[in-house]
Amino acid sequence: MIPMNKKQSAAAPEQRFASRERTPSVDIRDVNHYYGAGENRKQVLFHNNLQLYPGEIVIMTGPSGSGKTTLLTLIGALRSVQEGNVTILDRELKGLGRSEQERIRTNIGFIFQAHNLFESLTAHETIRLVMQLHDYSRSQYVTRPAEILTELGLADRMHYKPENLSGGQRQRVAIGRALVNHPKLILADEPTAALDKDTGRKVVTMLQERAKNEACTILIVTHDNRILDVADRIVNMVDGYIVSNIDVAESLMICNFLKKCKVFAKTDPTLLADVAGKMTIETVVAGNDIITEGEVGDKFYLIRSGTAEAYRTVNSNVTTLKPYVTGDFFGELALLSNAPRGASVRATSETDLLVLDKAIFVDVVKQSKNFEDRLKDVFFHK
Amino acid sequence: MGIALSWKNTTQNKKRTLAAVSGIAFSLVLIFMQVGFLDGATTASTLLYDCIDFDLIVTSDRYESMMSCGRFDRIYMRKAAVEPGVAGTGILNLAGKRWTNPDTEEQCSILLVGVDDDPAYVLHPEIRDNLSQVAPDNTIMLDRLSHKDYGDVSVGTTGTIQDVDVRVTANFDLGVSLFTEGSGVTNHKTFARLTGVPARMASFGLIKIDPNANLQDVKRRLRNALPADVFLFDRDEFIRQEQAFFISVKPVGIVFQTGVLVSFMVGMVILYQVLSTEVSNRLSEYATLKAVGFSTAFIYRIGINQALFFSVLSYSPALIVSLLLYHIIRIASRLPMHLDPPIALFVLALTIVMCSVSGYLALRKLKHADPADLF
Repeated sequence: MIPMNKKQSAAAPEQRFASRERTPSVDIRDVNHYYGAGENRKQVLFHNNLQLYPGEIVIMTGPSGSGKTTLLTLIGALRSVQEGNVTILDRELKGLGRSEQERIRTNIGFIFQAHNLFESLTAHETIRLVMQLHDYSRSQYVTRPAEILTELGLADRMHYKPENLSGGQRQRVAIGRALVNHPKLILADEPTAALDKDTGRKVVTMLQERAKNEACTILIVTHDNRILDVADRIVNMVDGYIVSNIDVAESLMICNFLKKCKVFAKTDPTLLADVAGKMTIETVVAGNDIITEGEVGDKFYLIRSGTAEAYRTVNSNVTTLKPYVTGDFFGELALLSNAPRGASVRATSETDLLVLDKAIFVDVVKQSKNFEDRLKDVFFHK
Repeated sequence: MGIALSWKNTTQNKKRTLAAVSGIAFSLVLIFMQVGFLDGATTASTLLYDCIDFDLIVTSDRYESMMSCGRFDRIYMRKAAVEPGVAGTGILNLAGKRWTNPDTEEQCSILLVGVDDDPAYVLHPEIRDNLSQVAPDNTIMLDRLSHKDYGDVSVGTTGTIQDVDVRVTANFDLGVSLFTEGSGVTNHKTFARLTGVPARMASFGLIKIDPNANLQDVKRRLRNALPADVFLFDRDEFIRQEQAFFISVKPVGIVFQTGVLVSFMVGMVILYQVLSTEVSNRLSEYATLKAVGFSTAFIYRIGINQALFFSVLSYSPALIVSLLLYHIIRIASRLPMHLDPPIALFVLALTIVMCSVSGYLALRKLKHADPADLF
């Protein structure tokens, strides 16, 4: 019997694939944070882990007081890291002095909920002021603010002071201020809260273009579900814990795969997304067994990429039973029936597998049943 | 751009800026006035000595200042005259009396100055040239710049001092000090008659030394030769003594100095109020500047620039108003008040100190600008 050669990923699901390709622009590892001192010391962040990658738009939600803002200020080098590690754009923030924090902040674009414009400066001057943090040519100090303000639809408001701008216009100036230096990281707090639907959409689209075209990471704290669709990832915080961290595209793909499996066909989307979040990644090299015939089944497998085949060995004769490709799943029968594996499965190329533990699998199936029963109950009483 | 931002912050609210600038400018005008009075009075206090030539001066040991100088026996000066290194000696008498205006019978104080007929000890050209005019008995040379209550002071007028008629035979320009309303020069004989002071008594003994003698050597020798009941000063010591007495002992000097201090405090409080309101109002803007990566130093510079703008904006009009007021006061009171560069620079320095201190106090609030509070 050939032992299974599997690299088990211990990392959180959000970095299942990205981590192999790029280094994160924001890397938060085991961060705890406290407010107050002595007896009044209160922990506000608990074991936070979060990786954000270039080009990603991440939306962070959660009730007020859940620690989102604290986490945002830690990422923005506006607060000193107490426990754990925060790495921003390849710089470790822990133990940095005030002036080093200031320098790092020049590479971050901040968008505040209260736009915090300078009352005495016009839109053009405001943007020009923050350009001073970087080197530009003399003419760029005039042209760039004009360009970005035009892009934001403020061409005719360029020389107005905040007192003569509407809430939405002010917010757009603030966004221009955050974008003008082309930061690799943008932190935004409720950027669309003061905007109407169309303007909000325009702003979000602009942020999206930045993320895609310049591989910029954008973290948005928001309760505005009109803009959820731009999120590559949605992070939910409750009481200082990151309770979920969902790669939207990935999760969507897994759910679609799972739905093809009869077992999950009737599972409701909430539960399905939950299952998707609980799957871990395993990689198997070509030729190695994933399942060995006769063993007790303890896992459910879904092929994320790669190919595999089921086979049986009878008197040293290998009979191939069935090929598997991306989106195919196997292993569910042994779990449902508690029987030994009826066949072996081996990878025929390097294969990424999404794996669900038996305990969770059974639990979900049971819950799905309950759901079905409940639904039937509803029909019955109608 | 930091300077542009400071300037725009300063001028954004024009009404408030104007109010603040007027307040600060007003306090600066007050400072200018007090400093001017003090300087004018100090100048006036030694105006007379600028007219008299001497290297060393002998006074009674009861000497405090010009107006309370005591007297000593002029025989001492004979002793001094024979000391090696002494080129010559003279006598200067001073006494405060009252002049009666012949037309109005109005009385004014007068500083009587008794001088030798030797012009060697007089520097003031008009007095020196007219010494012969006051050689006859009961004649006097009057200061044209005496108070207007003196009435007609021109040559030929006869006024009264201590019930003695005196004839004005010459005039000179000196200007008044704060102690008297006018001054007149007589010979020693007339002086004795008008004041009742015995002719052998002297207020000051003037000593000139040989050009190639060492001042300090001569002074030491004279000190040993002269009795203990007189003081001996060299010129610089004496002038300093007179000014110090005036500035630190006389109530006028103290009043003006206190005035400068109080005006300074008023200006500082106004500026502090303005700047601290400014900092409080813009706390979130400063926090934003910090958040986007501007250094703390940059933000402090904005505050300091604003303090400087306020002081420059206030100083300029204060200077212009003060020049005008000095001119008016000089004409009205004949006090030698001149807004010369040392005074202008002194007040400018005070202004800068004022704005630095209030700026520092106001900017302490900046540490409350925490960018972490912005989210």
